[in-house]
Amino acid sequence: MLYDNYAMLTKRELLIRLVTLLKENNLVDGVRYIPVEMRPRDKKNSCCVHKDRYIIRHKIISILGFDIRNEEDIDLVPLSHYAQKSLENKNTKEDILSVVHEACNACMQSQYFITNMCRGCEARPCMMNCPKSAISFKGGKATISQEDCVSCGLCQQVCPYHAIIYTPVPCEEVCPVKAISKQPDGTEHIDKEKCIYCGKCMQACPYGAITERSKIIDVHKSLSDPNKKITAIVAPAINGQFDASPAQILAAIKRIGFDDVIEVALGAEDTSRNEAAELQERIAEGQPFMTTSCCPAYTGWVDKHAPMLKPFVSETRSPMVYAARRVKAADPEMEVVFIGPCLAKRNEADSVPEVDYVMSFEELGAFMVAYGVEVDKNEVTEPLNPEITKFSRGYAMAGGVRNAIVNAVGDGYTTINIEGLDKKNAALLKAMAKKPVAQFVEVMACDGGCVNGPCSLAPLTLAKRQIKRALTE
Amino acid sequence: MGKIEVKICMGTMCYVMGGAELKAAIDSLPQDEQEKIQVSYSPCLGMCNDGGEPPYVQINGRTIARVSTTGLIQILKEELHNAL
Repeated sequence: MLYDNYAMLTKRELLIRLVTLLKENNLVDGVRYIPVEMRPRDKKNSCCVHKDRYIIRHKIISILGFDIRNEEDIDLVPLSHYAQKSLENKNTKEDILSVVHEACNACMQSQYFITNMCRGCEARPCMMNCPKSAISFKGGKATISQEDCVSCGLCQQVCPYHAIIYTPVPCEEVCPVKAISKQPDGTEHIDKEKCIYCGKCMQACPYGAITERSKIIDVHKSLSDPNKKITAIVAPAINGQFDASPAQILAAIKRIGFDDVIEVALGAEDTSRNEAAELQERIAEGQPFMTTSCCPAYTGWVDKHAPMLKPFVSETRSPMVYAARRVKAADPEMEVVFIGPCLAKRNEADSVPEVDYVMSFEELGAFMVAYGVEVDKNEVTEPLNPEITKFSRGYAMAGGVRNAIVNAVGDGYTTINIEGLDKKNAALLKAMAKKPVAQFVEVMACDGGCVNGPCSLAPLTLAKRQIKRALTE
Repeated sequence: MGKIEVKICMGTMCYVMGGAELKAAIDSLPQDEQEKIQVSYSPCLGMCNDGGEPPYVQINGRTIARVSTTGLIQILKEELHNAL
């Protein structure tokens, strides 16, 4: 899939500009120019430059770590003040995902809609086939009574003129757990009790109105403080993000100024070993099956939406946790930032003491730009950690954990892997509590696995190819 | 007929601001079109400093700023057509 869009570029440009100001020690003074610089008067690509600037202002406040809903005087407080506050205090923002309401377009409630392509034909199959008699004809054209319509879509299928369209609400459409819905004013609200932080809504919103909690300021503060030490632990999916060898990518990340950079794949060695042992033990004890636990959107889904699966989820920790533990065991003073493609990891990290911050690959990209770091394909690098096998780097792609476990326990177990938590897969998983289909079940909330995470830099096709290449090197 | 020379900037700025998509777009071109172009991926071309408009691409020496995937494919099609 080729899919680039301006909302994505706006997000990245904002991150780059903010980290650049941080790097130049000029955030407080420089932040106020961002909206005007990003939306200058002569650009003709928007309907209202003032609204665009206003939205960018709100997005900046959100990235700086403020919960927009709780900011009462948001229009009276200058950006520089928010910048100052964010530099002084630790970012304590709770919401991992929030809707920037000014940016939310309050999309029309999703519905089937009859366009003026309707010819009012004699056949009128829309009217005849509507199970709820929701279609009537006025002035020779069909209309749908939205009170009666149940959005079955039959009318659209049978219209000989393709006159009926479906207008979706993109964020609601992709949410696998119906956690995002309209408030009375039409803007969207995320229900924290239901949200599993898969990040699908954030990717889908054509206005970039859904922002994630960012720790760029805290990470910058650690990087620039000579009294602090910080190690980056980088998810296996990193190998798909840049066109260079794993060692060259790690070397580039280190040049940002981290005291050390470690592959989370090292933690995956621990996960594979422990999870393999756990599987053997559970099966020996008579439990019918076990699922993985390394995908935090999946475990969040089990907690909130599929409690019947809870006894079957592995208690082994994720590679992120084991990797962070290794760092903290060697040096308890060391701060740890996890860098990955995943939004839900921000939630998982909140629940473990070993991980101090989480950054996305997009934020990593912003740091690399701001700190002038280039990935050098010709660089001669230190060898990679020989303890890490290709099975652990393979965690980046769907099926990777399964491969690692099969490698550890042998062929004696039945295994499957499930990608994505769409309706079909959700039903399949829930049914397994009563009728297991395999003894070991890998579950990834993202279709394709971590390589398709919502905070990635490289498009999926490219990332997959680059990871495959890294695994064969 | 000489091949069309396409140089895509793989500097971090260009890569983050859409260059990765350009690389994917080039890879998805049909084989017969791929054979008519000579693609190279360059380290930072140094064009995005001071308010530049990444991502940058050079096609037969002509520098093009803020290229989208569809834009790139469009330009390549035009160049291929002109070269006939």
